[in-house]
Amino acid sequence: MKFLDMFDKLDDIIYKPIELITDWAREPIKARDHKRKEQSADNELKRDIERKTAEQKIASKIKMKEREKEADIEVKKETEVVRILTEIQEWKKDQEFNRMKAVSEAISKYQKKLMQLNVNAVNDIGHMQIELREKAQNLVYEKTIKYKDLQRTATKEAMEDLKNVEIDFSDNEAAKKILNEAIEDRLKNIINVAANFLEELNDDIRSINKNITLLAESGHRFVEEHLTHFQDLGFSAEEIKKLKEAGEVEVKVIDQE
Amino acid sequence: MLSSQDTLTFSLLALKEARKVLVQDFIEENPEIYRPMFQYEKSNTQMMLAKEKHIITWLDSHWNLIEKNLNQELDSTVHNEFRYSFAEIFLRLLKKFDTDRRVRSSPLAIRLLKPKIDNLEKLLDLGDRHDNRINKLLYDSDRHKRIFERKFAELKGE
Repeated sequence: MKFLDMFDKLDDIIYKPIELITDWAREPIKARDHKRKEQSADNELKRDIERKTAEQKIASKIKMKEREKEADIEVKKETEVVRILTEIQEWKKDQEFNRMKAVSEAISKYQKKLMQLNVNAVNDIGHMQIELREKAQNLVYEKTIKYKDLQRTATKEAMEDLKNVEIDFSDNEAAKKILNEAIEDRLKNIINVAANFLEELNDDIRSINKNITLLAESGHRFVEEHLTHFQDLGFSAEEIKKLKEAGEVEVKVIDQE
Repeated sequence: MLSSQDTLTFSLLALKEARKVLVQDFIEENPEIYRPMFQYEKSNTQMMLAKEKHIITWLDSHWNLIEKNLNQELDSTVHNEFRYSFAEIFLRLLKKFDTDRRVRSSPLAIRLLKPKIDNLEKLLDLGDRHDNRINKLLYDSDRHKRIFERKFAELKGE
């Protein structure tokens, strides 16, 4: 086998230069190969870059389109919301309006009824007041006449008595004096007492008349009670105030008529 | 809820009882009616006042009578309902006693009954008070006259 080993070495000696030559021959090929490899690597890189750029371009385009669409949707959403809100407002206004209409209709109906009620109530009260005042007046007149009659009679009798005294005691000054004084006292007494009573009569009648005037309060209270019914129907305090003012206007109108 | 039948029945019952009281008072010579008739024989105004007061008091008494007939078990809304219905009937009764036909009564007339009675009473009191005073004055006057006549005679006799 050493023989073969020699061949091995021969291999090396012979083939080494050949290897060198072939290697050197192969060099351009290798170079070209290398160039090609580089080129292709370059190209690949380029392609890579192009691809990536394209990818990015497309990605950004997509993103833009996405954002556009999103913005679109936002706008559409906003518009829709605004539209719905406006609709709701309109609807609310309609309801308010209808309610206001119902309220104002109720107010005018109430005004009419209230006016009627007021007219009749004022009528009733006024009538009763007149009746009572008339009766009071008659009573006062009757009593006044009686007092005055008393005074007149007392005066007449006093005159009579004075005359008699004069006739019967013309000579007796002392007796005359006593009797005249008595007559005077008597007369004064009756006149004064009657006058006092007359004054009291007037005072009494004045207070009764005041009482009669206060009767008008019943009328007001009566109408007020009707207003509280409206509270039960669920009208707000504002509306009731309006109704009340409307009613008072009516009363004023009636008073002026 | 009271049926309209029940309402009518109760109303008629109340009216009947009131009439009974009115007639009874006259039959039994109730002094409340008769005393004023004698007392105010001479005074027309006071007689009229007493008469009116009596009638209006009688009218007002209807409202006490209706309570008696209503079953106490019925709750207050039914009571009020009935009072409301009775008020319409009562108004018609009032109109019959209204001397002035031109007046159109409102439901307020019912409310005015009590104040009216009140004022009529005051007037009657006033009349009575002054009647008493006038009587006292008359008595005083008579007394003084007698005393004076005695004195006169006494001095004359001397």
